[in-house]
Amino acid sequence: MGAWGSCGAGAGASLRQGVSRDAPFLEVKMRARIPISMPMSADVRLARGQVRSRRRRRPAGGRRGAGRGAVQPVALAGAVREFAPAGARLWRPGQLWALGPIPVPLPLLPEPAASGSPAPMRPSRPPARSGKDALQTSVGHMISGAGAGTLTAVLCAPLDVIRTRMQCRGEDGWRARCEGRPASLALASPESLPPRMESCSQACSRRRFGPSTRRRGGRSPRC
Amino acid sequence: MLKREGWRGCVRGLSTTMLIAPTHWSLYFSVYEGSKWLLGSLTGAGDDTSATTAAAMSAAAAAGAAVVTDTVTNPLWVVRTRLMTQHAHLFAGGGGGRLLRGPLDGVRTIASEEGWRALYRGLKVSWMASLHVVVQFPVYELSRRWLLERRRRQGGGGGGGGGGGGDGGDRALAASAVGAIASDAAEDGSAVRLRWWELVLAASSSKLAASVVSFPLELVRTRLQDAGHAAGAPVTVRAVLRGVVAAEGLPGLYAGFGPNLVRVVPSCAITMLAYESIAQELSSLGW
Repeated sequence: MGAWGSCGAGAGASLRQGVSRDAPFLEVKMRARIPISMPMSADVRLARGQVRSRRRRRPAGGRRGAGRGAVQPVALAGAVREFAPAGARLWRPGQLWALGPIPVPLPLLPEPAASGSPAPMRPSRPPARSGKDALQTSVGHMISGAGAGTLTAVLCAPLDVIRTRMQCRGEDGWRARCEGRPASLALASPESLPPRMESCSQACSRRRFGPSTRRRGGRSPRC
Repeated sequence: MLKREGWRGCVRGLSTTMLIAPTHWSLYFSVYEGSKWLLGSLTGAGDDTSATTAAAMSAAAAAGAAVVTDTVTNPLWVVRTRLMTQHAHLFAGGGGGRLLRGPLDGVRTIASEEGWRALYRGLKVSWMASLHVVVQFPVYELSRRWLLERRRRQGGGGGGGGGGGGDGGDRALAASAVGAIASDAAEDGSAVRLRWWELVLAASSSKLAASVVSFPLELVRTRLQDAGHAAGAPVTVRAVLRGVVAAEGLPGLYAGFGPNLVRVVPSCAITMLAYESIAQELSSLGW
């Protein structure tokens, strides 16, 4: 088994690599949590009690994080910068944007020096963002969004209808309610404008351009 | 509405909505994710990218996605609006022409009777209204930080209970219909997580603030889309705004804001939880 190393002093992250059941693993222990859906080819073991997995239920006998496509919320503090594979993007301190899977197998790290100085842990090969992963992520977002949007639209349909109708009620809307009249749905067409508005614009166009100008599409200045 | 039209009156336009929602949101999410990635690579955002820059980029991606999505789906929104209001126009004694029977019939009828351009009524206003993310982002950020601070003060480290909330919920919010909110997950170096109801609260309040700003534009859009029911109805943004203000005053621009208020909270909650649940199921299937 590998020995514990640490990176990112102050952020409290510790990493360990080793081999278990002929498979390389990387163990991450840290304090902070930031969830990232990160398809991992490597066996990433999350230190017990330190990082909580989003996918808490595992099939009986199943190994944690094993297998391609296992999505683990890897919580990474600023320290994990050192661990982040090339190509990964830190948008802000502590936030990792995984652009691809960690290559398999992970290179085994040498044991830490006797002085106890931690060895930097970084996969040697930069991960390439595979087209399949990107497509899967995109399609996943599409399906999730479409499902959520549809459900919301169906459940909120009555409120949508009411809102739309109220938006189209026109002059008999809120004013009619305030005056105790039944509101009817009407559009704010030029014919429905109050006389003040009509007379103003008519007078304006008559005074400056004459009625024929407006009919030909001419624009009258503001009153 | 129930008295006059029965329960069917409450679900007018649902068929079109069922067509729009998956189309709209699937397109929105893919464009949003793609734009974010593209912006990140174009600007070379890296380790030193500040939270403000990241949030601004997310906002830009969200606005871009909204513009693209609105452009593609606008005809269906026009049909939906007409389907929702045509019976009300009928009862109000207005609205000539025959009733639309569904999305396809609606598209065909509007295109043949009013021309294809009628299907794109309100598009410019939709573009303008998509700027509401500019308000929504900062408000969401502020409310989330305030809630996190409050939780920290209460000593709530390592919370995250209470259902499907926590960071997962935050991530869901990042790309969800709740409003394309900034995608920073948790506070760095902190184990404090928000509960699901706190996320709903933050998302709802941000959506509410954005609605206050963009609601007049939404109203104008709806009226433009509905303009085919009345001959001589204004078909420009300026004309509609002038007409509404002249006839109803400034409060007229907020007609229907009450139902909108009632709608925001359940809408946020349902979208967030549904998105998170579906995403979890997909991830368990290896997606």
